[in-house]
Amino acid sequence: MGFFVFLLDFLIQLLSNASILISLFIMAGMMVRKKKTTEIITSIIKTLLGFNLISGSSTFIVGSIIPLNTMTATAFGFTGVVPSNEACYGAAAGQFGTALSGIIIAAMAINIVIAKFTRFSFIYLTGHEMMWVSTCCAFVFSAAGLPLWQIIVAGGLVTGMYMAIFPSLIHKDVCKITGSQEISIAHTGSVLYWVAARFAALVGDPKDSIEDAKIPEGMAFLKDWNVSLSLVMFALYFVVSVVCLIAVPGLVEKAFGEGVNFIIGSINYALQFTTGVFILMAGVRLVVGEIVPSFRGISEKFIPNAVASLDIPIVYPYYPTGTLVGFLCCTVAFILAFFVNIALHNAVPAFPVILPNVINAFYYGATYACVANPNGGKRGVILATLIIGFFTHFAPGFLIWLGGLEVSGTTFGGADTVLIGVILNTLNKFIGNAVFYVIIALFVLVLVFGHRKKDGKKEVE
Amino acid sequence: MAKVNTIMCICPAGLGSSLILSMNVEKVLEKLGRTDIVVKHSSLGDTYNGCADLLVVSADVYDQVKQYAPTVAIHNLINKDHIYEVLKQYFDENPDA
Repeated sequence: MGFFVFLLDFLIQLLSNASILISLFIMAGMMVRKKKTTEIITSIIKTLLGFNLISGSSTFIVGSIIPLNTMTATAFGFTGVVPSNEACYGAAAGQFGTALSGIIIAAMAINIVIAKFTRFSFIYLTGHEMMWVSTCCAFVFSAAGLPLWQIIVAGGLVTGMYMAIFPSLIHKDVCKITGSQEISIAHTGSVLYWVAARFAALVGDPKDSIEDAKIPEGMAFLKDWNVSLSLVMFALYFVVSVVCLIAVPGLVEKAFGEGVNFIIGSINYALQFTTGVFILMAGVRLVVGEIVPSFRGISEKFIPNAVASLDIPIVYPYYPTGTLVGFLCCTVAFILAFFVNIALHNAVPAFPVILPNVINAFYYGATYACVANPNGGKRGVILATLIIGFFTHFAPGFLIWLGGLEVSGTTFGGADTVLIGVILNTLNKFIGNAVFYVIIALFVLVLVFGHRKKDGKKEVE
Repeated sequence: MAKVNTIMCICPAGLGSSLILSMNVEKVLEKLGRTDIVVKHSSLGDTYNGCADLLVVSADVYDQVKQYAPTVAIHNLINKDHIYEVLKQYFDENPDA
């Protein structure tokens, strides 16, 4: 008997370990693709290392946000939230390990099923964005108190449906950029990309392309995350600590530690945040780099004519000038929105203060510009990035206000995660745990009414 | 130019686009008969002197990474014919690579 208990215990621990669960999936995917044993071993070790890096990074990230929150909470009366997908995932991964891995695997299966049997033949290949949506589901369903298997099933269904359906929103706009039907974009901002494209079409003229404009290239160095993140976090720390020095004596010492100069403290904590994100990205890169080829290998076997949906920078090379203009306009919009946000917080205290995140400004701004240019040209690009960018700043606030999703002073920044989080949480408030059955019903509806269009799309292979 | 043993594909975050690019570059290398080359992918911030023998990068980050190693820019990350042309031209111009 002793041996059986030992075996059972071993199996339970094995399958409830988040990183091992994903490793098993990757192993299966590599076996399907007939890889060598040595390659499989390498992949598994890379995946496990990646997960360790991810969980290790949260110490840095969370630790670097605490002093900032200490200062803003006392001096300004609000706790700022950093809308960073990576940081939020890093902080949440530890809490929802097994649920999260289960959701990710289930979601990929559901994506393949929907792509196979409905008109939404999109395969979502942006592994990290898929993780953000999965985390959002794990968070909301856990908060709702569903049992683990229901969290995995419901989360997998929601994420899987999301993966197959949302890339269809902006497929037409991506076709206009790339001039081919082959790909779409898989990114958690797609709702707002669609809005930006429609808005640009209203205000601008597609013939007047942004690429004809000349702009200085001096800002291009900010495309490097490590540089722009460090600079912005330093500026944030610096401004906040100067205000605290003037307004509340003793607070800066409390936040940075006794005897630490506020400039040195600002540099230290800004770089600590960037270090955390750097480690996290290295981890996510290892994990995603193993998941995506397996997922692609499997999906290509089952659905050869599916549309591959990829990360947004895939469209950046088409409009290098637009990318830069979008980034700059969006940064301006975010800073303006930040001040409006503080005023809004004073009027409605439940609405949190979102700190401007330069990574979001880059990705959103650049993508708004790319989808706006073929629809509305130069005018469309500038107006869409400024105005839609302004509203983008507030999106994570809604996720915290109406979706209740906040982990260690961070939350998700993507518009789609906001939409899903808010809808799920609201549903849950009204119908309680019946939300599980609503999601299953929705999945059946998608399968029944999304019947397959016959004209097969051509594949690049 | 020294012999190419490793290629690094680079995009701003080093997560999505560079991964897709690296998968496509691997397929193109098979076609070129260069399966001896190891293909990696990473971010702008993870690029340094000697990180690889050849950088194959998304065109929008070309200017920021060309200082670290011989670099070729790819304008269409999903078009294998385009990637093939670019790599073939590089190997033709640098017979030792």
